[in-house]
Amino acid sequence: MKHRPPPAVDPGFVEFVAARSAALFRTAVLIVGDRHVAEDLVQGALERAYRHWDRVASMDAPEAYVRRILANLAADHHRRRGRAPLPLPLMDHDGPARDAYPDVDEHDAVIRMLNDLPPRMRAVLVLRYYDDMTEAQIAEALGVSLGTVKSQAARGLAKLREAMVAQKEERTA
Amino acid sequence: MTEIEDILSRALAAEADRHAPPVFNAYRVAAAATAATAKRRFWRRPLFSLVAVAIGAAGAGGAAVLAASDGQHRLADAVTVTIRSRTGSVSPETTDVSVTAWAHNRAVAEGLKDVSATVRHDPWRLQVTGHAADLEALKTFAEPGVLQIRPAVPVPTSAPTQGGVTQACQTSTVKTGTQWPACGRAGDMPVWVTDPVGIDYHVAASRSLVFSQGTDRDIWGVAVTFDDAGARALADFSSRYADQESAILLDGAVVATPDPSGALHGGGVEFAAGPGQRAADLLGAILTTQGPADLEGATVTVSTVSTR
Repeated sequence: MKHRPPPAVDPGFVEFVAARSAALFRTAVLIVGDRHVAEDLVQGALERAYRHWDRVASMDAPEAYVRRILANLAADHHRRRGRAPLPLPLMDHDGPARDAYPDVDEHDAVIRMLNDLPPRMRAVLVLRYYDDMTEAQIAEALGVSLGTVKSQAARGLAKLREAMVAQKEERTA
Repeated sequence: MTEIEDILSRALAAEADRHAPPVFNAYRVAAAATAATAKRRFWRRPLFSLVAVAIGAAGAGGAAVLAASDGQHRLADAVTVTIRSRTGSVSPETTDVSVTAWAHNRAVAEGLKDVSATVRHDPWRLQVTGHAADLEALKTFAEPGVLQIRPAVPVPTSAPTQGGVTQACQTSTVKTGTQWPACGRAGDMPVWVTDPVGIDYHVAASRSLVFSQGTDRDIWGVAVTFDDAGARALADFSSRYADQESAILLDGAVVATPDPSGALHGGGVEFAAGPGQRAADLLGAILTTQGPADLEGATVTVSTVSTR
């Protein structure tokens, strides 16, 4: 049997991809709301990182660098494509299912509302509340000022809160 | 954590769990990254024939812009402006992310739509793609907008002039350690700039204002406010050179020669931008979104990407 030797790839990169790609994918999918797009974005971010892997690997936090590329790709993604596609809902909730799984229903509603927000705002919220990044780290990652991150996060949360209240009223009505 | 923050955190965690991550193969990523580099060169070749080539002899520090025929871009087309740093490389602090982020900020500041920026390497270049209608603004991405204030001395009356314009004046942002004759872009406002003392870039904010009433159109100007360090430097500067002329240089060209007892106060400076508010707004945008210093003296090429 002929064996083609695998191309010489830095073992550090192989390890990085194995260890961190899943986490990167989750961030991407939360920001863009579509797993196929997210997969493409992670692939793209990893490719970019690989092209400069010598430099990236010598950084204190290679993951932060790759996440930064990814966050920007994700936040910019919809700018090129127009409006975000809504994620496919897990299931169509009808009345009884709603009552049986209030938590799932609430989460689903939050994610739908999140997807209605502008992409940059969504990126800020995901990085803040999923990746637990600080506001300063987010500002650096997205290349915006700290004030912008604060205001985007505050406005995003306010919109979510508003939508939650509206939805609750609708449900109890 | 507020209630909504808590709900959001939990919802995000739950949503993330729903999406089983695919397996990313490092070897395939590496192969794709390598192939993309090779492929890009290949498929770009025909495009290069379309490139309205513009290779400029970067003059004394100024960005040289050469486009074979700007008029040929149809307004519906997208254009890509490629900006090469003078040396073909950039300093380590100039990361791809910082440059693309800056380009986005500049685009927002100038109200440009659908701008995408990519950094490519070997040699280093920034590619900014946008609407053909915005070409002129896109080309200004090669202008970092370096604002400097330098002490100056009036040009001796014996200096050779032609039609009242001093000859052989230079535009330069580079510190030379000696005096040099500088002037405005139109050859006006000639002064001898004494280097290297002075204040370099410290703009924190800018606003447009009517600078002087023109007979036809008002001349608009920009009032820039310095950051704290800049304001301190400005105070030192104006007391030290209180009895001397000074020059405000924008990208090496003189934009104003304020009397130190007059305009240089209050942590900022004002100078004329040109007729119409748009000129002032644009200059203000450039100054407050200063690009990487590596872009100084960059060359710019323009290529058209037909959208249909």
